[in-house]
Amino acid sequence: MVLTYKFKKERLRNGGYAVRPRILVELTGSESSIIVPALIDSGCDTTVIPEGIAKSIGLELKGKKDKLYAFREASDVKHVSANITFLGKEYRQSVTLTIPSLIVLSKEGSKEEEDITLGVQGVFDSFEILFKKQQNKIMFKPTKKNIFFKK
Amino acid sequence: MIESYSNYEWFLKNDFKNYSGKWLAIIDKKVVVSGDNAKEVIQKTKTDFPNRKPLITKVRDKLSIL
Repeated sequence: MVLTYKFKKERLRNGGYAVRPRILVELTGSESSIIVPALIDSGCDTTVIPEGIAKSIGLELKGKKDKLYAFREASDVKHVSANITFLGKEYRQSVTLTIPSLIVLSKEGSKEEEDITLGVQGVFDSFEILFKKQQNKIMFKPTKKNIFFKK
Repeated sequence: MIESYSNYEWFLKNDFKNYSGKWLAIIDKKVVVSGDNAKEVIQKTKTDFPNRKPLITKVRDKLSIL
């Protein structure tokens, strides 16, 4: 079985557009869960989650502190394990994994907060991912024997 | 089809130019809450729609790299 997602054409403030791969996932914390069209990024070492979202669902920020480097900026982060369900069109298609992730701590006085981005670690190990831009398809095929779809 | 997948398909097809830079909560193919940060939008949606599972997203309006 294969999970299928799409790219989204997003309008930019400079008048142009960006076309971004958006994957439907549910992120579950100790208090609640949220469903997001997360970005998938093969250039990102690991999955990143903004602090505001982590706190809203009760993801514990008890992990080791670290720095996340992106181009010319560095952000303070904490290591956590996040339960992420890759949602399909039907419930039986969905796959839940525990994925090593980083919580990006909010900078004091800054309103900027990016959305959830799924990186290589734990995601690209678990799925064979095929980007078919011309057909507007992103296909996720489980690669590990221990991944089961819900029945 | 699960409800969240239909909200996802609706999100993919629509242009949210009136919500540039905002966080959104989408239920039943409608924007039900919008705001400047994720935490506030999630909390308000939990209060107003306690038994629903909204799609939460940011309308990213800048060229970006992580």
